[in-house]
Amino acid sequence: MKNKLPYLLYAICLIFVFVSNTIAHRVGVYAIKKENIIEGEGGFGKGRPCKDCDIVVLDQNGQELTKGKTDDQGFFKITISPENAKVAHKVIMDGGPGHRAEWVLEGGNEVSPDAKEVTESKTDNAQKIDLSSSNIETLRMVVREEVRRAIEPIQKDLMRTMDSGPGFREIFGGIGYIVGIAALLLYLRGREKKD
Amino acid sequence: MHISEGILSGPVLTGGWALTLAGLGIGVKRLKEHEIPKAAVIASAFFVASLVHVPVGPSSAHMLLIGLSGLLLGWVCFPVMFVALLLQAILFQFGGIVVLGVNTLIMALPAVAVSLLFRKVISHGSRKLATVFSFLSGVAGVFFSAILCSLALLFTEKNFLKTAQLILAAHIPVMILEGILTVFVISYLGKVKPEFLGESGGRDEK
Repeated sequence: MKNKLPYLLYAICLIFVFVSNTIAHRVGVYAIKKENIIEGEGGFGKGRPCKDCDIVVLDQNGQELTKGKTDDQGFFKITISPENAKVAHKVIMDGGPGHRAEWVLEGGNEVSPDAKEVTESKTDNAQKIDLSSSNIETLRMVVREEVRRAIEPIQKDLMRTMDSGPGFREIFGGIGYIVGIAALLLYLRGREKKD
Repeated sequence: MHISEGILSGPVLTGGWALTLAGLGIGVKRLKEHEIPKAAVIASAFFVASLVHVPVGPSSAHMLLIGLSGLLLGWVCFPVMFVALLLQAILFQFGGIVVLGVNTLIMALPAVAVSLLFRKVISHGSRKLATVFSFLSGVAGVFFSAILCSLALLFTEKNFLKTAQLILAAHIPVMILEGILTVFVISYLGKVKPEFLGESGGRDEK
């Protein structure tokens, strides 16, 4: 009976490992910028949304620009003033006491003539553009909008990949480290005794 | 119960490290050679327990095994939890390296408190008493930890009572589960390996 104890404890560990594969815990917030709208998602990893969490948007100097909240799916959409749209932003999410995550958005290097105009033309004008008018500025806007629409799923996929919690490699790696440390301690103490 | 990086102020972080280093000193001194495998098993359990979420309640709470670790290890919880939390920070991105001192303190000190409060009753009392106090150990471990966590956040969150309430509310299901788990493991150990409870590092004899 005595010898079974370590097996039992390791069995408990293993159960934890298998149960854990579906759930994880890490506070994370991810955001993308579309002109003067910051859109994103916050959660605790692997599909656990951060519901109703406060979102704060800072500019590159750490000044608070605006605030928002996530919905019950963990998504948020925050509009910033157009004159601030091109600077770098930092999005900070407060996930309850002691839980905080941030995401940095690079400053836009787009040659947007007027952010307001772009937003307006976003959907309706896109189809109506007469190419022969050779309005380069408008063309640029349309292309930009199309590219953005095309890469949006990829961006979201990327977010999701970064959102995945620890896998078997991390879990067994960690247990391996602990076993290794214990073995090292035993070895060192054993050597001390011999000396 | 892991506090994220970048929340706490310098003095709190330093204080956490100082107290944790003191705890580590005591813990390492009390770790006897024959207890190393036991400590390693509990470190592994503590390491993976944080991945087990209790999907009840408003926020994200997970198993901690504070009471159980405390009963089995006493002061040795400090080195054990320090190592497990370090690995969680590196491999899982739970908590972080700078806040490791505070996080270790938040989880190991309650474990030590549980061992000092309840271990004698559990190892010497009747079976009924042992069951009740095992359950209490599981609950108390998480409870003390939530209080310590709120204290650490006192300087950033300002409203202590509200913070404590939020953390406690999120951890009520965890407290109950930890209580039940502690009862099962301790009663099993009491039958199979009673000396497991009695001899570990929490006592003064070295």
